[in-house]
Amino acid sequence: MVRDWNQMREHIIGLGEESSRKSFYPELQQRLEQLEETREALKRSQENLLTLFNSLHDAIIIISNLDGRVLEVNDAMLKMYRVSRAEFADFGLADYSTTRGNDISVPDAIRRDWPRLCAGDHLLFDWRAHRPKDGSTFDVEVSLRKAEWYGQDVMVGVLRDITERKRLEAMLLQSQRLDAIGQLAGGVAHDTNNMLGVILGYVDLIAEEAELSPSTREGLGEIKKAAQHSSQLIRQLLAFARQQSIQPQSVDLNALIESTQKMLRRLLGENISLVWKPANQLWPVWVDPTQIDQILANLAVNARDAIREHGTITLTTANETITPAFCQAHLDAAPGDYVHVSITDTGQGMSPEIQSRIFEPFFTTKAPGQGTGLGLAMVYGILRQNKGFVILDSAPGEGTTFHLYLPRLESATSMEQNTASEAPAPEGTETILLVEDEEALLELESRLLRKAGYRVIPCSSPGMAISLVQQGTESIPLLVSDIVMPDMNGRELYERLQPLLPNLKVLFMSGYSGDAIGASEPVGPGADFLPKPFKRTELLCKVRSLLNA
Amino acid sequence: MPEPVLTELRKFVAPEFIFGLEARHLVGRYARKLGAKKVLLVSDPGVAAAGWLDEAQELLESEGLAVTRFLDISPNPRDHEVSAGVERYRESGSDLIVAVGGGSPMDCAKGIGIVASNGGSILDYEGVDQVPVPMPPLICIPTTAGTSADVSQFAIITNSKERVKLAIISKTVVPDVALIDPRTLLTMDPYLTACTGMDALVHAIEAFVSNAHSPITDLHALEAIRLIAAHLRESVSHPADLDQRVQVMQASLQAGLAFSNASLGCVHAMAHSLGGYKDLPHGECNALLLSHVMDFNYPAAPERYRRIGEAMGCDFRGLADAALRKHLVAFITELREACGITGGLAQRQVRSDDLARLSEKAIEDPCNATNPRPPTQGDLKAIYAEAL
Repeated sequence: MVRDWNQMREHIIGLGEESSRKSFYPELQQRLEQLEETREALKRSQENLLTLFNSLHDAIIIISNLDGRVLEVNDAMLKMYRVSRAEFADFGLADYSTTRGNDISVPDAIRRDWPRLCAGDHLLFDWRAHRPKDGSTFDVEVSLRKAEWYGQDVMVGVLRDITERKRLEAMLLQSQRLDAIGQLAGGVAHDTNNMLGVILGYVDLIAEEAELSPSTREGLGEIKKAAQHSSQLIRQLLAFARQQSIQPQSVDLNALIESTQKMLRRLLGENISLVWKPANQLWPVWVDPTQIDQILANLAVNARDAIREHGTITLTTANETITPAFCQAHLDAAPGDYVHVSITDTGQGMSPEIQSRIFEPFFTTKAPGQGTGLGLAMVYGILRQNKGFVILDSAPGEGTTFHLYLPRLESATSMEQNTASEAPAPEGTETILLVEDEEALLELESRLLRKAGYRVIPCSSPGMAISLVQQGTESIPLLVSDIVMPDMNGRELYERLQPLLPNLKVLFMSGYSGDAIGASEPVGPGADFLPKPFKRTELLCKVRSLLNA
Repeated sequence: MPEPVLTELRKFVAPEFIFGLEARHLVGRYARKLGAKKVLLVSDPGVAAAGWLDEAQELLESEGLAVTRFLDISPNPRDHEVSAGVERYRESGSDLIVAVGGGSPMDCAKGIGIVASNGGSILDYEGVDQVPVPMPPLICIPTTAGTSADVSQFAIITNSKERVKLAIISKTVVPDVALIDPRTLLTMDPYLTACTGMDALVHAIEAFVSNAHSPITDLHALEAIRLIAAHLRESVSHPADLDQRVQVMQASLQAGLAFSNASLGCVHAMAHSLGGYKDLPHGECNALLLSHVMDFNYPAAPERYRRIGEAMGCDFRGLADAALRKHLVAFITELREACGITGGLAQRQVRSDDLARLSEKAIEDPCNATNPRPPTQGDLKAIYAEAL
């Protein structure tokens, strides 16, 4: 074996050797310690940031701008998209999105938005997100910025689940739409109601004349029937618009619903069974019983139509306390004690689209001529008028439940109902100041009062009434006035006249409900309220009793 | 052998060293200045018994340094002893090593430092220039006059499985500081004094005849040879004579500076193989082999050997090469025996059928590279046979 001792010698002499003498000096040691401290601080800071990152409720996604790869996510993202930390990177941005519900694809959106992000813009938009494993979708609000991530250009997306917000927005929109329609319908119905009052009033007057031919009398009957039919319709519209004049009283809904069983069974027919599950003890509610009849009849008919052949309708009652948390999910609700009435059918159920419009007036899924589309609108209006609310629970193929909530009456005794007694229309000779801005009604009401023997001073405006009183020296014991008038309302008019006529009594009239015009406020002993339209005898009774008081 | 060309690029590596009585007292201050907080104190039970260890520990602790001792070292330190030392170094969180003792603790301390910085096993760093990362600061306090590990680029560790010594030659194993205090030699017995002194002589002679010698190494080598020849006998016979001890310590230091930079030759190659296999004291092996290797080398460097003889005080006037060679070999043998190292390898349980294995391992040693006469394995086997 030939050994290269020369090469070894060179090596030992050490020219060209790789190793160096000591570099392990104190200052180096100190720097190493500093470096170690810095590294430790950096590590802790990193841990802190990670804690914050994963404590956020919003999802954070770091996305490669080049290919939409997902580089990093926080814990909230894993929860929101239902993926594990081991698998989140297996899906790209396109997998976390959906083409349905978004008007642009992910690559197109990146192409479009990247230049703006590069310019420093911060983008905020709504997006339809997709869970890659179960395929479900949900709405998110996306906040997007450009950032640098390990030296690479990325997009940082902060995503907030807005499913609940969207639902509340839709509810609010529906509620606002119903309010707007209600206002419109209320205005139209109010006017029409006045006109129907005129028509019916004159029919009554003419009918009292003796020398009418049989055919004229027959014609009058037809006019009256048609006008009454229209009146019925208008009452429903007014109910929806929460302007139905009502006479609420303390009501035990168990007893009231019990009493309607016969009527409901007749409505439902033999193929549909009615199950009635009343609560043991039920709080009283403050409501007009006829409105409850209207509601139950309407819902029963709807349920019957939904069932079509054989099925069951279940009626339950219960006391229930509504919490603020419940109200966050149901915008119409307010916290407090309620009596809960539910009406459940085993019918076909409703799609979300139909549910969103079901309470609108004239919206109907029934064949033409089968329904007016006012039934559920009326139910909605009545509940709202009574400071209650209605919640609909339905899905196609799974039946429908209407949950009706009416507020508990706190002290039943304080609102005892004074029942109006039916008596023959009383008459009199006193002078009555009549104020009504609707000329036809003014004429009709004057006639009714004059026919009963009273002396009537008709005025078509509050201003005219005030000047007449100022000029005259005559004593006037009673003011009969409309409440809603263009330049001055009836209440103000009464206050203006009181100094001139200290003993003046007043009867307010209105087609709006008492609550809508503040008439439910105490009006004192010499005042009363008469809802329109009214019967002749109702007017005369109120007038007489005020004058007698 | 051609004389080295004066224009050849040469390098001289030496640590900072402090030579003189009570130099050892500086250990605490140096350790602190090197940035240490926790010191691994490496030594062996013999040195501890002599009292040098307690003193060193006190000095270190008086500077506010924590001290961990590591004493589990045999003569001719083993690879597994290095591993145990590294474990102790890491456990204790040490950041500096102080070695107190002869060649064994100092070489073991170097091994611990290498592995502490570079990881792995000490066997991974065998050969020349194989240590990439410098080791922790190392302070050496020699308590023998011969090994010169306190100034050298060499560390010799025994591969316990192969029963062979491996040489690690690297600038990184030069200590940071050597505190060379002749007073420590007073605790050596005569035989140890003889073996270590002969070791120093071998260092000087092999460095002087090395084919890598240089003017600077020559100066130190010749002076070391002169001092050994003049004072070793006295030092062995009068162990308490501090003046003799100072001279021999000086010789050892200069021999170390010479061989660390000029390297060695076949004596060391063969002594490593022999010591590794038979676990004999290194200095004793060197002493027993020296005259036989000189006889073998003589034709390759007669002029150099003449100057060695003259430095030792031989009168070669009128002698031709063959006679001079005979005279020189006899002088070396006489010096060895006068110091008490008598007999041959045979008395030390070396048998003739060991020679094949011994020479097989010895030829692998890098020290052969600078021997003035390039050896073959057969040459080495023949020299072993003569030394029996």
